[in-house]
Amino acid sequence: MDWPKVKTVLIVFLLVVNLILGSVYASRILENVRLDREMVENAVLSLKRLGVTVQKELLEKKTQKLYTMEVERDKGFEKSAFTAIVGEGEVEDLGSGILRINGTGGMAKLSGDGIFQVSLSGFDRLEVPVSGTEAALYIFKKMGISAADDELAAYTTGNGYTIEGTQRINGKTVFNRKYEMRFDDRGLYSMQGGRILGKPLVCDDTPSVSVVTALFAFVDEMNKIGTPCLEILDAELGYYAKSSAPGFTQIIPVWRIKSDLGERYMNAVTLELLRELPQQ
Amino acid sequence: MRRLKEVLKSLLIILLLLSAAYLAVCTWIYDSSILSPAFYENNAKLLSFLGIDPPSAGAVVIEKSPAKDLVEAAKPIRCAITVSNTPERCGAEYDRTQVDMILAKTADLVGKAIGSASVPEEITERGWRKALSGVGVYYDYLGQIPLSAIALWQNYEPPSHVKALVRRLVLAVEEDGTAIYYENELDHRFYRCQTAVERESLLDRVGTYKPNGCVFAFEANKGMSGAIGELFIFSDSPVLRMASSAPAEDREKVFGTLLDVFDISPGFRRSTQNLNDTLLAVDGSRSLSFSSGCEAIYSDTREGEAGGVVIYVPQSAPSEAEVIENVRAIAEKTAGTAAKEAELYLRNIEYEASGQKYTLTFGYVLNGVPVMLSDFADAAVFRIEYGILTYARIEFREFTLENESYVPMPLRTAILLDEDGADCHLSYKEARDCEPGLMSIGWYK
Repeated sequence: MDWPKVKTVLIVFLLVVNLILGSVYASRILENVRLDREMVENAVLSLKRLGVTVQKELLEKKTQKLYTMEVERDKGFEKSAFTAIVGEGEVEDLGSGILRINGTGGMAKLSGDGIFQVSLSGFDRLEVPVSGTEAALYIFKKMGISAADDELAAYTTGNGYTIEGTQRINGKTVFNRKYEMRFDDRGLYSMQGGRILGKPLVCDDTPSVSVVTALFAFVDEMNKIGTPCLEILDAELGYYAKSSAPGFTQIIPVWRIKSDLGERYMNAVTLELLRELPQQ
Repeated sequence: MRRLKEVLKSLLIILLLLSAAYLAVCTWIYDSSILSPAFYENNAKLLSFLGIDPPSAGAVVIEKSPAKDLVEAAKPIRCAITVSNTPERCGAEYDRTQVDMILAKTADLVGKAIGSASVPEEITERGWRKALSGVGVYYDYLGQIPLSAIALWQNYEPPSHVKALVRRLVLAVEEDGTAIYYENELDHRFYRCQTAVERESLLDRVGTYKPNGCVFAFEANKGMSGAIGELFIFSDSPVLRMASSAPAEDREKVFGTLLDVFDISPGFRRSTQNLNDTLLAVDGSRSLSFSSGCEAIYSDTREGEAGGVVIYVPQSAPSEAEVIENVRAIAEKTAGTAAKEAELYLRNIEYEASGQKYTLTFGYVLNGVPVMLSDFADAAVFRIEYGILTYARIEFREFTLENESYVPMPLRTAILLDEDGADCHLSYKEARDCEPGLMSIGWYK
């Protein structure tokens, strides 16, 4: 058999097949782009008809799909993490899942949904060899927690500085899990706020809705409650955490929508408007 | 040279084959009409590795089942926030929106308080009234609700000594913390428990409310001698929307739902008879009837046999809240689905000390106002013995809120006119024999 000729024929055949498949694939992608563009234009127009102004760029934002997750509380891990800060000591169960660790260096109070309060007593401080936002990462590392993804900001106060942090999961902000760490020139003396400590696992495969769906649902909901929205300024997809059963915290995808009515949150799966984010 | 050319051709063939395969996969994947959702679910990791964002849902692997969320089977009909000891108070009743707004801000603290309650100490009625007039949160469920269930509905595990059935409770701010007060409906005595709710947290929530002139009857000066002390007195009468009721329209559909919920196979429809316009299904010792008046009765007469509608496994020793949740789900799927604008609420739970026999009673509530059915029937009654549902009676109704409003007579007048008005509340009342039409509104005991 003349193999060189067979190979040439095969190459020509495969080129044709690739060309056909490539053009089908490209046409699908182009069609998707066209549909996306049309959808955005239609959405802007429809919202305008409803009396709502929105920037086209906001609707063009591509966001990954988020899923509802759940974290089971691990009291053992919590105890070891906070003992690393306040020192060994008696652990008291105050009921309602609230634990108090009376350590040698201070006190830590923790509740089941990741809310904590730590104060180091008297002259005790947790020495930190680094400063600025690095100090927060150092503290969390000492507790056995990776916080590299968190949003951190440091600012000076009196003879020290404060770090404010917001937890992020999969690159998305958990809107109601914020914390604050206070340092003076000798080290950490208090920290409080909320941070989910366990590993979130997906518990529902219903994806979050797109920004367009979220905005229409938001406008409709605001009209229903008699406070029509006139302008949408921004929309950001993130998470919010809420207790779902004793010892369990659910992390739910949520759209934060900024409008002329202020900042509102909408469940990105069920499209329910949250009255307010649960306290942290 | 010729050999090198052939090697390059072979390489090109391999590359073109790979490229064709990739393009073919992409072309199929982007057409969700070709592949089933299971494909996306099963190949989520591979698709993610190939950098392909699948176009449909189901592209994620479920890593755990969600923890069982216990839905509130009852919400307070009345609630109040006392903002100062003067006392200045913001009260809400007969208005679901207003009550829900107070609940949204306070229910988690009440749950937390019950979950962390100390061993109860008995107090006097005077102590109870002092707590009512002090800064704090007050709930009146107009029913008998297990205190432990109120904590579990807010996802707080109650301690074992929390065992009361309550209608009214107060979460009060005290000098050195917070305390929960309640009247136990089992012995009609008042109790107080210290809680782990921080004083500042409660004060912060309470501080956001503005007083609206709500006073308790025992705080009012005159004309309230016949009333129980915990009634709310406002300067104006509430304005309620008129509402109408009617028996469920599609009886066949409702009966189908009942067969499904009570797990009676559609195959038993052959034993379904039409008797005085009553639909009937019999499955061995279990029977289900649905009358022309839209009353469904389910009965399971087997004793000690396995099967039937299982509410819980007796060996699992469920909490009251779990029993309530499993029964609530049945009530919701049946009467709740048909009720349109009304909701079901738990009115009462009775159980034997052994914890193996329960009777749960549900009522209808429409926009925050209880509904009285004709002949004072409950919306639904369920009896459970050793984990099996042995009896259920469900009254199917459809409720619609009308556009017209109605101002009932003032509470003071109602108390003066009716000697029974000591513990009264506004209710919608259905016409006699559950005839369709507008419901009356009045003060009822």
